[in-house]
Amino acid sequence: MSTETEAVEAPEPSYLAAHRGWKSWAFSVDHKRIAVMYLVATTLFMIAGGVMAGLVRIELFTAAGDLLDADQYNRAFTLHGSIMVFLVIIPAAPAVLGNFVLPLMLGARDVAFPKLNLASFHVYMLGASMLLMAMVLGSFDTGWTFYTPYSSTTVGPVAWALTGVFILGFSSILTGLNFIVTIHKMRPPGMTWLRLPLMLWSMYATSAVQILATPVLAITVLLLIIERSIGIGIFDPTLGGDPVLFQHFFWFYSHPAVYIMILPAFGIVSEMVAVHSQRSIFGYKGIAGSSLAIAIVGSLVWGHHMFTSGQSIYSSVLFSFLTFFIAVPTAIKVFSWVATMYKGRIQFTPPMMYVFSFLALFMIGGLTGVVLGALSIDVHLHDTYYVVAHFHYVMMGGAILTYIGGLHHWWPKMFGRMYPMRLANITSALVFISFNLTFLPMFVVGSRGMPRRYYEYIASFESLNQIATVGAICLGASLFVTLGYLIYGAFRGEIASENPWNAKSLEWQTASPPIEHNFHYQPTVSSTPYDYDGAEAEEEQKVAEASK
Amino acid sequence: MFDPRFWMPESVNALAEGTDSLFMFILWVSVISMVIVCGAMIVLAIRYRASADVSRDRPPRDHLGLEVTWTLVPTAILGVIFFWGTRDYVRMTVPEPDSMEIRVMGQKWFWTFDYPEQGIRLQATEEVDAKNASEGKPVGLVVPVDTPVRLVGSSTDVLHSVFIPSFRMKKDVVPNRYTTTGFRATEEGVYDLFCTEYCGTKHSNMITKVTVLSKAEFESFVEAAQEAASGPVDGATLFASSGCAGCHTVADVGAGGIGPALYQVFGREERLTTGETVVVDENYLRESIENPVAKVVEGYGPVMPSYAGRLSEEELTALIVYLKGLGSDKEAPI
Amino acid sequence: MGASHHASDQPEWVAPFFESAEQQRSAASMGMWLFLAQEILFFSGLFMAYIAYRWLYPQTWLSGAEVLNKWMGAANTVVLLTSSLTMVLAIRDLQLKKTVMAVRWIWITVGLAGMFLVVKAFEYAHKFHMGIFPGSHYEGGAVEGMAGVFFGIYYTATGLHALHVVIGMGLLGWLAMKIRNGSVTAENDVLAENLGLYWHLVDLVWIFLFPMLYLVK
Repeated sequence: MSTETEAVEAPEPSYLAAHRGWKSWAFSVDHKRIAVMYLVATTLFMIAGGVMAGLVRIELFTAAGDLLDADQYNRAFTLHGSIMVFLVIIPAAPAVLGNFVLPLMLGARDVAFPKLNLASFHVYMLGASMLLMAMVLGSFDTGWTFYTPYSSTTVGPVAWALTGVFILGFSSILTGLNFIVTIHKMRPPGMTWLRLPLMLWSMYATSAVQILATPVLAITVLLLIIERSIGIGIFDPTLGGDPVLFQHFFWFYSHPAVYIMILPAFGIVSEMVAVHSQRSIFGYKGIAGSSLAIAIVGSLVWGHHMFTSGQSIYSSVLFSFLTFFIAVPTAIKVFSWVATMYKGRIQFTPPMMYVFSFLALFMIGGLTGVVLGALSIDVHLHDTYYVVAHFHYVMMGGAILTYIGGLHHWWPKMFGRMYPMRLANITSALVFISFNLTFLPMFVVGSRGMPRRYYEYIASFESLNQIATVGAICLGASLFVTLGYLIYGAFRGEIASENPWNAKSLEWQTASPPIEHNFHYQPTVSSTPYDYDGAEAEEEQKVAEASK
Repeated sequence: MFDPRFWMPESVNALAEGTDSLFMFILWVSVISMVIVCGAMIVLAIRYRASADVSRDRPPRDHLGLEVTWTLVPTAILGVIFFWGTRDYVRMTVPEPDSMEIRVMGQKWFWTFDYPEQGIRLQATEEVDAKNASEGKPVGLVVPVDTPVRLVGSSTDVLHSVFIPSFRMKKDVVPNRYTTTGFRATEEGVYDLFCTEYCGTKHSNMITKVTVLSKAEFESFVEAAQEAASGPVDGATLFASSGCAGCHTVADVGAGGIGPALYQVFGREERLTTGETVVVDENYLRESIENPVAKVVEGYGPVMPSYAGRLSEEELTALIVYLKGLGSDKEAPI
Repeated sequence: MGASHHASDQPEWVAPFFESAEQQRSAASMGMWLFLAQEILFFSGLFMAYIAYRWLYPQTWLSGAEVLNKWMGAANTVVLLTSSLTMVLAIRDLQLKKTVMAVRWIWITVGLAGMFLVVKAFEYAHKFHMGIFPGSHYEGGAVEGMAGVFFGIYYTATGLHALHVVIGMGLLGWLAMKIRNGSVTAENDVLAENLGLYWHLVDLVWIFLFPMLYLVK
């Protein structure tokens, strides 16, 4: 723990000021600079994906097709999904917050492989460029799920998009590899596994999934590219292939992928709820263990996307069973976080607002996942807007909004300045309300029978769709306001102290923003970073005395 | 929102009776869970806000009893939901014995229903549905009430999915394979049928109806259909029922759609994607129906499905005669 | 730059953010094992496809395997196994500070890999001669049933494997040069060990592919 305070101007400049010029960023191996570059890139891509969503929602304001034609609409929703999944949600929390915070939380000077980290970023940008190139070359309309035979036969620059996805996979794998080795090998003296900040348990589980699941996406995409170019007949039924096999291959990765999206958010919530309740986390072991359980069981449930695909009844029953199984560790986490508020000292700061938002939105997302896991109901709800609403609640309400909350939590550390907090609180409420306005109606219109990916729909679905569109516009606007004040805060906000939230984890025991090499000395720890009431320190003392 | 009718249309499939109750059960469980969790969150947030002066002595880091309870209770509830859902699922996907068989064929972008026991075929394209509706005839998939039906589905091109919300029924149709499901309609009426597996441009137009008739009405419907099928083949009707109108226009206004416009197509000189030119004669028309990707007109993609083996010689001739007449002294039918 | 960040008794090849050579070596090793894990997952997708289609089309698999030349496949297996041995010898000699021999063993390994590729090239050429091209260009007729699927998987699997061999050859050549110029030494040999692991993985994948494709009964 730090006993030195930076009362005098640190002789070393912060990582932001340490070097100048674009090359010092583009070729930087500093994990913090890499994180900021990822931040800029993912934000730009989020805007692009959001524009696509805007086109879709505006078109869906009326039952008839008017703004776009059918092909344009199909490309719009495909791009929305592909950009958001591959360029935003999967990389964002690990590559931005993980990169920035992980070494700092470990009291380390960088990740285990800084050059590989930089390579991950450039590989990400290369993959992103190929995906965007596909957009420029006329775009593709396969849906982000690329189901065959439609994707193996449709005309268009699908191969560009698939190659982009393949390359992006490597970025994800290498980031995961880096984090696992860093957490194993670069913990500070005293940080046993059971003293790890929960953010790191989450990042560990996330990284394990990244390393093990992403290669399966890689081979799937590669096989599809080869299928399209020379027709080997692996997915094409006219050549003897099996289109349902593609679905198995695809979801074997893409289901664990959603755990890559949500596990970091769980870690962020753990940190934020403890710090902003100024209290120890309730059920530390439960939360840590459940992260691992979710990563493991999450690799076994992919068939729940395929209940109506024609797969055997036995497979469906097995997948449904495992899907319910995974709901239990997830629920334990939610209860533990709420329990953490008991006897806390709760600050209504923007990060805490995002914790409240997460708990409500993730509950809705998770419970509707239970609905979908029930076989008989899924037969009715599969491929309807009910599913669209469910996954937006977990992926956006759960993962993305929490990532944004995490940005609010670590922003003062990253930039040494604070954003306007009052505005942030108000805007977070607006985001919450407009999010629900957008997606709650989709549950209803879906269970009433509106299928997904519909360019035109029957008139009885119109009024609910109009509410959703209004909500989407408000949501987009509030997110832009958020972006605005965060940028303002980074450049012109009030100077922040080293530890504005009175947190106990190591990243808060060094300057805001940190110096290039993070710490002037090697920190040591003797408890979890949640020892607000000193109970662990007391325990340590007793043990030390007893062994004298 | 506590009435199932808020969430779903009338349920008229005997095999899916349990679905609505399970849905409402989970809804109640969810609402109660939300109230407990979010309620606790709000209460704790207010009671333990920073400015509040309450005891914060020894905040607990664990509590075995609480943790065991909140593990076991959800597990039990989830177990109930799993068994209930599985039981109902098995009931709805395994067709009843002595079911009437109907074969469903999905293709871009319409449905065909073959009734092997009755020897009739219904094609549910937009044009046929509109025509039947205007003539007061049953639209789409026609079935008798209170009769177990077994749907055997397949596709000729890409994945599609048969979704009948009022039956709580859905099954993908896959090329080169059969998928099976079943239902038993309990009430006469007309219900929506949607394609719900994305299949390209006109995915959202691949919709039709399910018309449930009384058993007597169904009998007379079948008889009328059998008679119509044995009469002379009309090219215009065939054009509408084979899905051609989904991509080709026949009127003398407007540009082509997904495929070239066919008004005055016969005798026209067309430039192909390979650069050669071809004059549209009977043979070119026949080849384009049976092997459409062989000679594609410039500006269009190789997306037309083949009808080889699906039209009899008589039907092919009728179609070609019809196409020859488009824009000549014969009137172009709608 | 601030104060020196690790004890000054660490060799200069230890990166400044590591506490010790031991930590750096341990990290590099672990990283390599993780990389190998993901390589295995990558190839396992292909193995899954193989299993699925062999189960669906057993006749095709039997007659397809007959077209493949068992003897060339076996020869290649021996070649690769030998190259794994020479790689191990290279690393051992490096650790014994016999750098000249180490470099020689590495070049022998590369040579054996080249031989593997030459045999592969003969195999592919023979198949092209028979009209067995990958994918829908298959005109072979020598195989009944869904030959396109069998050969599609054959070419994809052996092609991807061969790509890994080529990459391995390049990496090993690079390693040889680094040993020559002294940046890889007996004390700092983790790059050699890691590339050795990579090479053994390439060998291992072939040991699975050979019976799976060539020895179908």
